[in-house]
Amino acid sequence: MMAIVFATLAGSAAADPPRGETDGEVVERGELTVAPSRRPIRAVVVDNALGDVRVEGHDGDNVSIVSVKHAPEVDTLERLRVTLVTDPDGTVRLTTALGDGRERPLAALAGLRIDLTIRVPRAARVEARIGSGRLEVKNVDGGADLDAGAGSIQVVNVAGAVVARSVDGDQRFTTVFGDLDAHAIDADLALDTIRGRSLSAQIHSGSIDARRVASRDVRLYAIDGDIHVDAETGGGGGGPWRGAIVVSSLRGNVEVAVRSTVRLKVRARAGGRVVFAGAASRAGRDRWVEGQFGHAGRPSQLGTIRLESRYGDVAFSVVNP
Amino acid sequence: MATPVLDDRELVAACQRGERRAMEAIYHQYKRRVFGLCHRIVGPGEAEEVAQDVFVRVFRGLGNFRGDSQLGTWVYRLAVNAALTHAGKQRRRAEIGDDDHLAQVAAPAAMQRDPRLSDRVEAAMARLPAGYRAILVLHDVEGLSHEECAAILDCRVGTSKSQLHKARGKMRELLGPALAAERDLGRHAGVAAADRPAEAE
Amino acid sequence: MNCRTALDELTAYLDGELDAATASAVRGHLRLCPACRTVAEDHAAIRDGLAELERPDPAPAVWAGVLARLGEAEIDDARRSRWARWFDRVRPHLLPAGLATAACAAAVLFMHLRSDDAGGAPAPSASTWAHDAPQGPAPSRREAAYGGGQRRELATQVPVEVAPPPAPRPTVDASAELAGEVARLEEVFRTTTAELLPLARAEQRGAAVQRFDRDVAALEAAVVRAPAGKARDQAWHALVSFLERSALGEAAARVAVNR
Repeated sequence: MMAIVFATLAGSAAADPPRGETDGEVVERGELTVAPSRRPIRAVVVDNALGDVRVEGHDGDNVSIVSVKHAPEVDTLERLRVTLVTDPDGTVRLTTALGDGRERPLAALAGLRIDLTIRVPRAARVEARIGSGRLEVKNVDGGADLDAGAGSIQVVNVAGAVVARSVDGDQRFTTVFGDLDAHAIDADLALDTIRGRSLSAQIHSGSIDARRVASRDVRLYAIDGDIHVDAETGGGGGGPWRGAIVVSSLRGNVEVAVRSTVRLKVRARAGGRVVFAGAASRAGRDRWVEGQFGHAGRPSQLGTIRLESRYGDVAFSVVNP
Repeated sequence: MATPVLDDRELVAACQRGERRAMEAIYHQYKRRVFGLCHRIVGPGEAEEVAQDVFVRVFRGLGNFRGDSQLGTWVYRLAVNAALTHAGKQRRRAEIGDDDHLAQVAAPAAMQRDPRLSDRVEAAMARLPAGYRAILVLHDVEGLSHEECAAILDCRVGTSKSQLHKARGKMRELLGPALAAERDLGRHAGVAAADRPAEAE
Repeated sequence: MNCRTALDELTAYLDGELDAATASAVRGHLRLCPACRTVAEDHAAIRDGLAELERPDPAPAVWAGVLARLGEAEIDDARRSRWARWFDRVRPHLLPAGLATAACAAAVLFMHLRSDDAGGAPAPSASTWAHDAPQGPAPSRREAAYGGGQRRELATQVPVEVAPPPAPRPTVDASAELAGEVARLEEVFRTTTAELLPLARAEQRGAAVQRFDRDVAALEAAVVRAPAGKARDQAWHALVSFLERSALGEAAARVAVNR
């Protein structure tokens, strides 16, 4: 039997008053804790089209939710709802909604929002969707599946598979231990310290800036934007690295630096210039430039790198770690 | 996150401990529903008194709230009961000659003053028997389902449906001319969309 | 369907509670019968008029009054005897347990005590309706509901609109502005797709063109099929992602389709 709480998160016995009113704005804060029943809480699913979502892992076994509602006046505030459903399989679902308030149509969304801050057991998987606010996920080990339309996505210190999609909201990932798959249409992607089996990041228009990337299979694509990669080939476990890096932009520049001591086979082509380790090569759209770097490891442990830019430049360099 | 966290059950528990903020939260959560219901069942003159009575019952009765129904349903039940009991007393007072009260409930002045249908609807509802007013408020004004109405009114779902049917019929009797005018208006505005019902299929 | 049946089903029809076949029969009858149509229009107008009523706000003094009365009641509690308080506490458990005798005895014993009507929710009794029934002889259901309409002459033969049952109350995206934002994002997907499609198709050679077209068609169908919301967004992302990779000449594009 699943439990449903219409968590108008109706204030609390908190030290702060449940509702405050300043010039032209009413703010209400509500708090709620969900303890696991028969099974531990394994997943938290959040859908909030009305504001920010911040999810943070903690060492406890419960889920706690703080909602802060903002509205121009009390009538509208009362139409903002947070619904909580706990499934017996250990999934906690949170949805925000704008009650239809038949007595009066809503004039505008201006000044109207619900922000959710959710603490979840560290091992839980997070699924979250926002509209145009900020989506932040931090310190969870169960991976994340994140959607933001015009909103931004920020992921910090997450283990497990991470999938992120946005339309025109920027995405930033810092310290992801797991596979990462990110896609955005019109946005910038920033990645720092990504260590998983595979990393796939793709944008239509915008830039990709990836630093300290140590995933074994890296694929970064852009149609209209530059891609900068600073990769490591340590492989994480200290053993020989055998992986692939594919970076391709249609109209932007590609710049890749690899910290590596292993053998790397690099192929590149560009509509503009191809620069290998500071030396420019004669380039052409259909002419591949190839090079080998590093001496360590057997040929079977070769890393392969393919870099392309149809209309821009490609630059590649190896940095000794 | 330093402060305690509460759901409905905990909110109730906090009220039982006499925690003022929890009580206030419950009051704000339900005040418009309770007052709206009282306003329409007992009329504007005594709605505040009855709503006050309802909340006193809510807070005094929270100790017996077992949580086997939604808090909202329980609050509605208390409100409907208090309002209907009060309306019964009003009727008995009216029977022994309280003409002022009748005039107030019927609100004929409002009917003449404001041409909007919703105002006439409001005035017509004031002339209905209180039981009909209750089902109209719960179902049509508050938008509750028949299942919820039945739980609040402690009757069967079928009874809730048939009461609503009768109540709307009674409203139609009371609103006769206003509805005819509304129809004419609608006809002038809506001939072009004459076949719209088919689209709704 | 005849008038009587149609009118019996009218409230359920207007509230969208009928199954499709019965609703269709009611609608059909309303098309044929101007008298019933008039009744239906009136009922729809009443339903809508009620739905538009405002929900008034109580004056701030009400809360102050509640607190004052709670305070008074608690002072009364303090003044009451221990036995009276004990009885109030056990009363809810006595009756359901079938200890009616004990309750009666207790009631006799404590009859002198002021009854406290604030204890719990008195269940609305079955007499609720009877108690508030219309005064005078109760009209039959038919008379009560349709009396006026049946007597009126038919005003016109022009078919008029009977408002369809109201849509289920929306819970999310209730405002046009939210819907507008969703539409804007869809437009971004649409223009991006339109821009990428020729670029991606130009990359295909020979038999790959047909395969590409099939893949695109499948991905587009998935977008159309997906319900609005997360599923639709994801279907759009899959389509755009496939086109981007195809435009970059990535053989891996097919993987994205199959995924």
